[in-house]
Amino acid sequence: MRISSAQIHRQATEQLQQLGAQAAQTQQQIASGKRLVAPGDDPVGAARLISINQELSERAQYLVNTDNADVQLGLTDTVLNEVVEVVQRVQELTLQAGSGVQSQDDRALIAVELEARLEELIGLANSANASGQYLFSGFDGETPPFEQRDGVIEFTGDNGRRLSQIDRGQFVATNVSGQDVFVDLPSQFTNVLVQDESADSSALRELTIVDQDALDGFFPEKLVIQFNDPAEAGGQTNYTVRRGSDLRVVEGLENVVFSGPSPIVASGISFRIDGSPQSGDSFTIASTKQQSLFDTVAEVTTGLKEIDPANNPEEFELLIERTIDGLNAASESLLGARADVGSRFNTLAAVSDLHEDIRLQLQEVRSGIEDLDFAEAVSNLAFESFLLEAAQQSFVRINQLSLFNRL
Amino acid sequence: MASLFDIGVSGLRAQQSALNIVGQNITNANTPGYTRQRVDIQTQIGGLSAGLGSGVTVGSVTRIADAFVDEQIRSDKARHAELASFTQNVQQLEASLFDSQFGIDSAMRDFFDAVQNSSNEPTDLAMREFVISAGEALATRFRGVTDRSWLQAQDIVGSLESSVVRVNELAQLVVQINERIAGLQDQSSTGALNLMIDQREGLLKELSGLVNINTVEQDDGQVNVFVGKGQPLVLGADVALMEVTGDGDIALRPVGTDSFQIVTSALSGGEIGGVIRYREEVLWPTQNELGRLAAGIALAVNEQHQLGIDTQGEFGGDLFRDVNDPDLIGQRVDYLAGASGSGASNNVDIGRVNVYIDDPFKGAATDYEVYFDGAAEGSFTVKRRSDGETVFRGTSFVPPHEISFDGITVEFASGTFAPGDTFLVRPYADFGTRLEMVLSDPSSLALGSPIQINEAPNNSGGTQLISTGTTDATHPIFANLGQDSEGNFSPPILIRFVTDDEFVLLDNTDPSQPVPLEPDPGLQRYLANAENQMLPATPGSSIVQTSGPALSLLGTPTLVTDFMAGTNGYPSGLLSLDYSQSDYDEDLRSIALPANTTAQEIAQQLSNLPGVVASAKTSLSITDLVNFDSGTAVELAINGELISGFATLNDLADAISTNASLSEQGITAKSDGTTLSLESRYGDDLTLHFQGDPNESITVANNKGVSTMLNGNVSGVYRSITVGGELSVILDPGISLGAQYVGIFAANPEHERADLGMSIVMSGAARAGDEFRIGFNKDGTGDNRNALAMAAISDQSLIGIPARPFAEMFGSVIQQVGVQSSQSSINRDAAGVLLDQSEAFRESVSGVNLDEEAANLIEHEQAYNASAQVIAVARDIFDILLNSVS
Repeated sequence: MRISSAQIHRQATEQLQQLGAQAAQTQQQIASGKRLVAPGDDPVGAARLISINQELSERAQYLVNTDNADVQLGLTDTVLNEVVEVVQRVQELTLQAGSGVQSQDDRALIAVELEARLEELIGLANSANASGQYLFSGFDGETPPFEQRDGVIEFTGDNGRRLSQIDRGQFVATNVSGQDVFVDLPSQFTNVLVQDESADSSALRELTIVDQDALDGFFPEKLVIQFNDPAEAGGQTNYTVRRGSDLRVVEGLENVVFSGPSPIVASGISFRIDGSPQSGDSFTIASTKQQSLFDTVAEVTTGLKEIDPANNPEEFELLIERTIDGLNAASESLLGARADVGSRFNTLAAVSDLHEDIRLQLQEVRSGIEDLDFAEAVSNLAFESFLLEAAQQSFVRINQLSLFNRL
Repeated sequence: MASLFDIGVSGLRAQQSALNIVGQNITNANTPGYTRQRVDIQTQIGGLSAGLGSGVTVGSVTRIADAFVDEQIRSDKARHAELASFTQNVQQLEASLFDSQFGIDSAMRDFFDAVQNSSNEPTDLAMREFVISAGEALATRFRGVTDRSWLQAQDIVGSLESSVVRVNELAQLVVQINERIAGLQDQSSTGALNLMIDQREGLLKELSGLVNINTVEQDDGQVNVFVGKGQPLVLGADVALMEVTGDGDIALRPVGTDSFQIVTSALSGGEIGGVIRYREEVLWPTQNELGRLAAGIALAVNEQHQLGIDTQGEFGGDLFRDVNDPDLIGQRVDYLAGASGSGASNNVDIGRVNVYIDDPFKGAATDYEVYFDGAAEGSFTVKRRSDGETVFRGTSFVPPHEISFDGITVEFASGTFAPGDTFLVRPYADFGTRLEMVLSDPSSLALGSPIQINEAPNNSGGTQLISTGTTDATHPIFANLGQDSEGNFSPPILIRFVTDDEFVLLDNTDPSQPVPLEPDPGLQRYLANAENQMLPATPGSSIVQTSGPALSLLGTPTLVTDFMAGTNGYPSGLLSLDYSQSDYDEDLRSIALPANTTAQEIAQQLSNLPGVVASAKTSLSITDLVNFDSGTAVELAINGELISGFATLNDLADAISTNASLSEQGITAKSDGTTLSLESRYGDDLTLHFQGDPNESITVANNKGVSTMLNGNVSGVYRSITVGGELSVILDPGISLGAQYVGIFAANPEHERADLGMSIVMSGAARAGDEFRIGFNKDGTGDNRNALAMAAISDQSLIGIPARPFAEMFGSVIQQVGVQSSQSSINRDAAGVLLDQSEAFRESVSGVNLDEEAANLIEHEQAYNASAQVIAVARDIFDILLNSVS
């Protein structure tokens, strides 16, 4: 084929350029250590890289979450363990007090220690983590969940479960419900609690059980105390006590004239209405087969001081019986909660191992996609530079060939 | 003799010319576009006697070229230049998209990680700050990448402008040369002609590098040049000039005329073609994809955020800028100049169009053309650019008018829409540059859920709460939240199990006396150990309650001697349900009701229809026991169950409650001492038979307060009355209960909103009497439920079909651009090889080979010398002749 002189030059220079560019690209890859510099180098790999990075970061976040859950639950477990010890001590004290060999003074001393233990229990139940979140308050963030008011320990938190995501679609609760562990403890005895208070200027106080049998018969009903229009009792403040399910009047307590702080007794329950109740005020007292740990301890503390077994052996016996029952229920629920926390620890450990394993695998896959095979690249570079040199030399040689040199 | 001299001289002349041409070739060996020439040397015919030649003559100087090669080079050049500029632009774009450390994908990960971290410590303000700063970083990253793509779009217009300037210059030069070639045509000065053709060939080649052209040579040697689909650029001496319009389109305007034609989509090849193709195939789609991704994230995060509550107990607002911000909706439309090129100049009041994004992943990320065709008055079509499909055909309308398709809504807001008007709708193009974090106060970050559920202390079942969630923060039930810390739902709700597998929803505003919800969804079924949706939760579903005149009817008591059930007095009729607005594949369903059908039967028939759940209940009250102390035993039969020997309503209620047959039928009674409420919770008719002394009586009232007195007659004769029930019908969205039947249903019955703006799912076994209170999550600053729900957006497969998470979505954008980049660079290299081959071929035909020319030089030199010898010989012959004569 005919070939023009200009073409010989052009082809040669183009080839030199191409070889040079190839060597430069290989050099760049070696310098950066990456095979994949732009998506165009490997479009599928680039997209895969984004998915892999996403999953790596997701797993990293799940690991952060499991670590966080681990810390929270560890803290909770420690506190529960301490609570168990206090409850055991209260059990010992109660048995000691109920043994019948103690004098009234001894019991008073025991009551003093019980008071301290109760304080300790409340303190433990109000534990918070480093950022100030109470451990047993549920979703409530700002206020201590257990508040002592007028000798009654009220639970102001809720039963919210704070979850932490530890895997796709998998969550673990990082808290233990204070309501389940301390408050809603099953009891063989019927107890009472104020379920609703809708009153502005009055409050229900000193809710006590005066007749356990009557109350047992009343369970699971509620008592509703409603203050009526004064016109219904000759212009005097009056109330009606009804039972919750059908609002039937209980024990004839209809339009009873309100007589200030003297206790109202119905269905084995005694309580007082403080303040100045208005027409429309209502209170609901629920009967339940549950008792809070704090109520149990508070009750025995007061009981030991007030009830003398010499005068009231039956009442004293019932007190000890109820207390032991309540403490047993508390121990059981605490053990259950700790077992529950323990099983969550296991889940966390298993899940975080899984995340670590998968992260390692993913990192390998990612490296396979984007990282350079240095041995291959270096040998390529050597070959490419060899080609370049050869081309340069042959170009010079060919250029020397010209008929004009022979003229 | 003279002839031999002449022959020799002719040889000298011819070889000199040949040597000149060789010299020309040698000196132009490196001149671009030069075509080698050759002298055609011919034998000169003629002379004194035939048979003897008269030497040699120079025929012509031939340009050694192949017209097909030139054309091939032009088309290869156009293709190569197109791919080169395309590739260059794509590589620029991919570099800005793909950044393993500072890409959009890493910003998305950081944002959702920050949300996860905030879920671990919802009370920690610093964690909330991180969410906001990560959201700002995400928005900034989106803006950065899409801004760069918009800058590129501007650069493209700039490069089109400079290309167009060069095209115009070249076209004008071609015209000039055309004119001169036409002038030289009849002269024999072929050398000049050849050089001019070379020059023109060079111009055309350069032109091909800018845009693909077609050429046709006229007889007079002039060349006509066409671009695109046969649009003339050069016609002999006439030229058309290109210009770039304000929209970045290219118009072609013949010089000396006013009319122009938009040729953007017709142009191909060359730098211009490459840039245009890049813009349409890569840049715009990528902008759309990025904008859609940004809109998708903003929409999903905002929607979820608005369902949660912040530290003040108020519902969250927008986290990112609202995708349908009033400032944005009007900017998603371009008024395209009509095909005639007349533009908007005549139309003083161009229609204003707003575009709303409803569901970004329902359709493709593409643009739409709205064209008012004028076929019928006001009619228009909407064409999807990605596949050219017509997605909507509309008819005449009066603004404002809305149409929806592919997950977007186009509103023709105001102005005039005239035939020929064309609008380009670009729903997603700019949202990437508009994404902004609008929330700045960390305490306003809504990480909690407003819903709290409390179990009653005396529950005995073992239920578990599976999930709670807000579905509509604007529901009136949430109206009083957050205004003060005592805010609660209006109303708070009580779930009360009446049996182990049936429950009712009550309004718990007064906890001592919960009353049925208004509207009352009726008795609900519960499946133990399955996941039960506890509330009517489907958005858009409605409740119809019976409120017709028949409910107030209470018949006159009759005297009978047996316990046969009476009739409820409900009229016959046809109950019809309209499905035409629903998703069900039904149109109309009817139920023929005979007279006196019980509410229970109506409920069963309704519940058999698709999308309908009906429940019924019957209630009546008994008051005023008169003269019950008269000594004679009274008897009351309820649906045939005889109860005797009661003196008070409380006794009667207790007797009914302990009657096994009645409780099996679902009939219960409650008495507070003055009123006994009797209820059949399944809506069976309640028939009472009363026997006593004539002065003994009870008063029976139905649920509407209509009452009658039943008094005794003689022994063995009963005074009897029957009361019918009421219904509550829950209809799936779009289903409506017709107005034809007027009986227990009113004419045009009111369809009340059924859902309560939230969803609650429970499982496990419940026990009769169990109660759950649903109220506001007061002081719930430690609640992270909404944070978890927001974090889940990143890995929830909520995008498009097939469903993909955001990161993969972004990955596929990268992949598309990467594929374009790698393909185009391969194609560019291939086109480069083809161009090289064509050029090599041209060189092999037209290029100068110096060795060849050196040989020619020797050849012609020798021939020259030989010709000189011929003259010498002729002189010798002449001398010999002279000498011999003398």
